[in-house]
Amino acid sequence: MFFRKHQKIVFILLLIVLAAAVFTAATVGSAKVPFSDVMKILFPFLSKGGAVSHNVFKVIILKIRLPRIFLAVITGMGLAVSGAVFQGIFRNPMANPYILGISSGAAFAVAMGMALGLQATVLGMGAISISAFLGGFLTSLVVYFISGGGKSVFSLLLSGIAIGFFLSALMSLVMYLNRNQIENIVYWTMGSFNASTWTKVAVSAPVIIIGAVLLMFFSKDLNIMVTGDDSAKSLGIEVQSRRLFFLLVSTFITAGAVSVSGVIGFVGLVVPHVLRILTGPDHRSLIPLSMVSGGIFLLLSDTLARTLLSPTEIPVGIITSIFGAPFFIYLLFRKRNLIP
Amino acid sequence: MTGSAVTLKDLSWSYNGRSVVNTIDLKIEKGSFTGIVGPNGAGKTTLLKLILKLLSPEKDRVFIFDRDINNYSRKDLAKKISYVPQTINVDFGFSVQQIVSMGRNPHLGLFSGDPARDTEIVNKAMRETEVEALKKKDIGSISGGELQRVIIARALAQEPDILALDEPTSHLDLNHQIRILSLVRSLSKKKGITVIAVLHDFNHALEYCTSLVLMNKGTIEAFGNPEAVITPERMKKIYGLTTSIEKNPFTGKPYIINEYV
Ligand SMILES: Nc1ncnc2c1ncn2[C@@H]1O[C@H](COP(=O)(O)OP(=O)(O)OP(=O)(O)O)[C@@H](O)[C@H]1O
Ligand SMILES: [Mg+2]
Repeated sequence: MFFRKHQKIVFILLLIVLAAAVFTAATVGSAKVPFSDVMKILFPFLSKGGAVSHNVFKVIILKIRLPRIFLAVITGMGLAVSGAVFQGIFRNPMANPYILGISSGAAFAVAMGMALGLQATVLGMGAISISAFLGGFLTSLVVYFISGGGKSVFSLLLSGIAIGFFLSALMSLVMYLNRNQIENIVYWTMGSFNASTWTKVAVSAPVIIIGAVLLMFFSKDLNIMVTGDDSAKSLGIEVQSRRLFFLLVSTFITAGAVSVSGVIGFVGLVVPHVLRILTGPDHRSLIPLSMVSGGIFLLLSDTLARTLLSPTEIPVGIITSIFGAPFFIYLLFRKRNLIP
Repeated sequence: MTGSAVTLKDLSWSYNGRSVVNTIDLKIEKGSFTGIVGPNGAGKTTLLKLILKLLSPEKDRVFIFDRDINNYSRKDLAKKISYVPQTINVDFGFSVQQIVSMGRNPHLGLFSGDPARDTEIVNKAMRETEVEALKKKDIGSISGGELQRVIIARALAQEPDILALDEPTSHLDLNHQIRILSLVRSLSKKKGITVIAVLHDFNHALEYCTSLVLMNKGTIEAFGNPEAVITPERMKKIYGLTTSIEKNPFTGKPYIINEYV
């Protein structure tokens, strides 16, 4: 992490906002748990003033809301960080974490898993999560290799698009042939934290956090790589191997996020984009700032997703897109106005 | 041991089976200001990229300070030789100062470093190239000539032994063309930096270069003292232009004038 002064202030403010969002999210929901009880449950050592009024509140907070909150925050962090890195690698502020076909690969694998009725669990993770992770990760590897080992970002981009379309078509085919599973598959592709568990948090958090730390560690190189391959090589960067490192780690993070939450759009696109505009392009600060902001954004989106039409839930991917898309269009208009 | 900064031995390169650099032998002296001239497509940029390991030459073809370029890590190479490409990607909103600071990259360890010294070197490079006033500006919002000077500042901040420039004056006004080339020459003289510059202006080549490579169709047509390399016969043969060599009344050096077709 490398912050200039005002960035340090922004970072601290964001941490405060994140904490506030966590408390808010723990308090709101279809079951009405009083704030005082929430505090007593979260900080039992403070609860001198008597016991929690209902034991069921404890279950709601500790077993249902908290894992969901943590998972939303972790996933948002992961998507935003890998979005920031993908935008840097592709030298394109409109890139996103799914650019190498991770989303279509994961969705195809999930559709297959559902159609085949896979049940196995590994490390407490269900078959669908595992299919999503492997589908997403392997797809990026395939894209990387058919693009000629990442010699140019342009061929990576084109291979990603091609494979993405191909797998989406295969997924449609699987859905068409397994109509009884259509609802499940579609629901999964819209993204949801509905089935959050502590196990999912425990498996995805290390992947995403260790990945983010690794990315931060080499983020200085990413700054230089943004200026172009030849330019970066002449400044001493082993561009191809460094690019592979960034792609591998951020793909790992994205696949980890997708496996526990489905395909959630716009977080990885909008969050780093906005942070870059507000706090500058230096990845040493952009990555940690995007990380915290992504956590906040997705947590707030998920909180809206489960409260707006309560007790019905809206898939969180719909919320992020409803908020993200108009914002994205706004950015496009802004860009157009900048170019005379 | 040859004692030269750059040695090329029987070096060839082809793009997709098309030969672009053809069996070149060349020794570039330490401390020289070596120009590379030649028509469009002659292979000048390709030659420069081979010297910078931006293309991968075979073993035992390119030597930097008598060491095979393939035996250098990129980082070690970047400490020896810096590159001024014609342009870089400017879409990401880095400031001039941030870009120039990137020149320090090869000298930075993962944890060690002397930030005060780095800042001093970066500031000096910006002063020398007259971009200090722009240092807070987004590199996407400066002029082509300003950007070129920023890239040169970055290359200077790299503190190289060899400075490789690809048409460093192509976007500069006449004043800055002369200033930049004079700066590069004075660095070459003061610090013994070897300069390798692709140039298109023969009068600049005659004025600044201590030796000159004239390339044509992937081979070296002539190499040596600029005054010996640039002759009306060669200009006719390679460029198809009738020229005359005169004496520059300001410097006493030769300069070239040409017919217009
Ligand atoms: N990446 C590439 N792929 C295929 N061919 C290339 C590539 N780069 C250059 N060439 C070809 O190689 C030849 C030499 O190109 P090079 O860029 O070295 O010429 P140059 O002497 O620098 O010309 P100019 O004065 O126009 O800059 C040209 O015919 C060019 O079309
Ligand atoms: Mg060229």
